[in-house]
Amino acid sequence: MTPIGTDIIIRCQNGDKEAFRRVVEAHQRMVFSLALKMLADEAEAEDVVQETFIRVWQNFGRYNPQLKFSTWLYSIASHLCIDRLKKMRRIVALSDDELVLQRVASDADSHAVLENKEWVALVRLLADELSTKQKLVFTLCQLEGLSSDEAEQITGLNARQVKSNLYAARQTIREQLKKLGYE
Amino acid sequence: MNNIDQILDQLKGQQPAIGNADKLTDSIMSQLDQPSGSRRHITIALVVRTALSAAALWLVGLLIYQTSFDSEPQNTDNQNIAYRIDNLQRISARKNAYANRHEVNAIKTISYIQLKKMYYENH
Repeated sequence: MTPIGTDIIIRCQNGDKEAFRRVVEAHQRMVFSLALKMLADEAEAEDVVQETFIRVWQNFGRYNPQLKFSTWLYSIASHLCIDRLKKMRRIVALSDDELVLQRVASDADSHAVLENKEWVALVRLLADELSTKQKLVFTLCQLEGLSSDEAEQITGLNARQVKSNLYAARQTIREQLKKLGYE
Repeated sequence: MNNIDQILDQLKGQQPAIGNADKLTDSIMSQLDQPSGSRRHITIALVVRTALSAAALWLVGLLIYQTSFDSEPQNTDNQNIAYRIDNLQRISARKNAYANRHEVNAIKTISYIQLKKMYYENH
């Protein structure tokens, strides 16, 4: 992801669409990654990407430059994902999802890149029992590799809430993996 | 490192790729000037809310009007009812008084007969 300079942001705030295209190109994968891991659905994730950038365009005037641009973007995308999760039916694991997990576990040392379908299967299998907050904090901190401070700014939760939600999510996923025969 | 940690570690920091990133970018750019679905929903919600508020206000106004201006007929009705109750009470009081008098008379009659009996029994 190429970092976006202040000049690009100022151009976007002045309505420059070419500058905004660069912003979209640089960040859409990041937003898609969060949305796919949260929603476990490629089409829904692409919808979230579109909606996020349309909101960013409409609200660029409200962007506070003191906040990291990616943090602001994550914040908008997170809220959209939470809204969609509320409307969506419960994500239930399929029988084939375990095969994906077996492959991931066997390739764990090689750090093979996962395909989108594999991500969807893993989220269905592992994050089924998580609450929305736990899922969001786990996705941001564990899967996206963000710091707790960033997770606090994105979610609006305090440090203690982020820590407790992350701990609970990890424990639930560990239990789920133990049930599936992993140690 | 155990197997679970290895799995979680492998998932860290991986970003799934968008199937057709350029197409998605074009789609986003083409939608920038269109009013979004959510905006439309907000407008509809505002219109409905305004209409409902107006209806609620009208109903409250109607209620106030009825209670303040149409109170006289209700009072007359209440007065009529009170008058009827009063009449009924008077009638029942009269009935009671008549019944009491009749009872007293009956008692008087019984006591006279009893006295007479007693008189004959003793003499």
